[in-house]
Amino acid sequence: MNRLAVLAPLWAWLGLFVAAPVVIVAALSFSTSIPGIPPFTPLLVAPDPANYAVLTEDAFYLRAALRSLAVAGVSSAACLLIGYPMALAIARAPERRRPTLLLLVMLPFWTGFLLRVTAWIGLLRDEGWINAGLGLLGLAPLRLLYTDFAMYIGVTYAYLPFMILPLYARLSRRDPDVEDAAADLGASPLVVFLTVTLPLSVPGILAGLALVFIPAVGEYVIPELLGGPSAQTLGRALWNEFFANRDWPMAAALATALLAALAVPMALLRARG
Amino acid sequence: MAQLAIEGLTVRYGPAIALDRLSLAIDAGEMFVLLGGSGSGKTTLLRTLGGFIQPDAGRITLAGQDITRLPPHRRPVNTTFQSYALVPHMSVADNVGFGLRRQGVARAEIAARVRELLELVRLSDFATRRPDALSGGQRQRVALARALAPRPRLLLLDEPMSALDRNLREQTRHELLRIQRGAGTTFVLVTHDQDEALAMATRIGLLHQGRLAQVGTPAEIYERPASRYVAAFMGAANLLPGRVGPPGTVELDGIGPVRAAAPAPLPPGSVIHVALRPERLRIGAGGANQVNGTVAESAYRGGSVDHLVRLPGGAALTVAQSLGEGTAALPQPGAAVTVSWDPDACVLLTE
Repeated sequence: MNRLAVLAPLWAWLGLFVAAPVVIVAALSFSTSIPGIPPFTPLLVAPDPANYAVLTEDAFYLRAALRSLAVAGVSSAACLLIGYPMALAIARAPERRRPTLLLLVMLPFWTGFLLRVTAWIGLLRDEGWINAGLGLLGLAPLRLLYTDFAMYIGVTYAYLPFMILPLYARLSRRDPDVEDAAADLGASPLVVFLTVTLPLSVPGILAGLALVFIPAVGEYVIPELLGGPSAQTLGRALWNEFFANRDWPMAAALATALLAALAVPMALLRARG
Repeated sequence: MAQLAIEGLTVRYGPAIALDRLSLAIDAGEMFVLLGGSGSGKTTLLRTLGGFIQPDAGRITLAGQDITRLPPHRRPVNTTFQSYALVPHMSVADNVGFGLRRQGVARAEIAARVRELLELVRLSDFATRRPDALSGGQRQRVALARALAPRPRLLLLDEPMSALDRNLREQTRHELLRIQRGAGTTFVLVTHDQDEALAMATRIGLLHQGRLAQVGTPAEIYERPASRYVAAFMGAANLLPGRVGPPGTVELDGIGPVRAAAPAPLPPGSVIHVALRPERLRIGAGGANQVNGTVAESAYRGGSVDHLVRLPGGAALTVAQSLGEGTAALPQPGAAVTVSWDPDACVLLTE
């Protein structure tokens, strides 16, 4: 009884703000867009899977989905490659220095997300800092902003802390004696890393990949601000359906499909761990 | 020539000195035990031998080869860690074969050697288990097999029995000695337990404040401690200050003249300490030396009872009364008793 009393607020919160919106969006995805307020036919009166049919038939959505997967995949891989050495270095740093280093990782969160992405525009644009630096070296300016490259940089930059923190949590709990024992038995530092440190950090890698990949698939702001106009991701497609086309049911169908697509790998990950 | 030669080894942690110009020679096939309290430098010495700590000064030579600056993975030295440090995601067999794989030994040969070692440590049936499915004693034996597999010239054991319960520890001592004799490898074992050191060592090095207080066979260390520190560490509870008297006698503060056999003649009047082991003292008259006192407290220890006897002069003696003949005649606290001992029970210490 006590247990129930303690958990009741939690369940209420989850029900109101997580489950209910998902149910509403899912229901909305089966209605039809009409001109008016609200701009859709009444929910659950005549469920119509037409929106999903469009999703599967129109190659535009498939391309957007693949594009999003590519952005999320490349960015997650980049986050892992950059974040792993950082997490390992923090985990190996003297204990008194670790809080400072972790604070530096989290410091960007103290500034608004939009502001930070906008700052990249200043760095990457044609007359930006990077091209000014190249000019000083006598090199021709590069086209950086509004390219896929800028989009990857932006997503990688924004989600890097979400990779570092779970990796650090895992690596800081590793047993240095096991690494010493491997070295003692003739393993060079690289072999120690490959045979001991890396395999033991796999749960941290999976957690980090999930935390970066999942939000990156649905990312809207960064492709919009940094990516080229042709870089149609799911996030941008969804935004366009909702705000530009005012086709709420179509946007809802996209959102539901995205959620389902992400729930599957998450469930697999959970089953593993 | 010594198998392992350590010369002038110095390790500092900032301003603190962990090893102070330590020199030591260990012969091939020895079971050398480094004994010392916490902070004595014994673990630092072991980690320096393993290559995990770079010494600030000094030289380590193993079988004629200077290994002082070699990293751990290039040394023909293996270690069993106090925590055992088995690789958790590898099976017992893969753990034991780890060092052999690094040496590029052929698969079939690795498998054969792993089988041989698992047999040696009596774990043949556990080859496919993961370390977390083993008991503490089994893990300890896997760690030992793993360290022995690449046939190191020197095996270092860091408190190998500290995580085992008492009965298992006793059994493991015998196992370790059997395996050491079988492998013929030079073992250097670190412990803080003097019983363990006495029972296992060919020689003991007693470390104190980063220096070797004494090196010798267990009997030498136990019976002829070189200093008050060694005597106290090896369990001589009675350390009495005094002066050398006429030949064959010592004047003990608060007790008076007693007969004592000095190994080397000391000039009369020299300030000394006399170490008296509790088990060399007897309750009752009969020795060349006897004093009267009162039992202040008694502690039952199973095989014996330790009495703290206060003497009229203010000194006190701890006397271990053996219970071999039963407990009938035990003096109770407050009882007046006579304590006696033979002259050769006195160990004269000048340091």
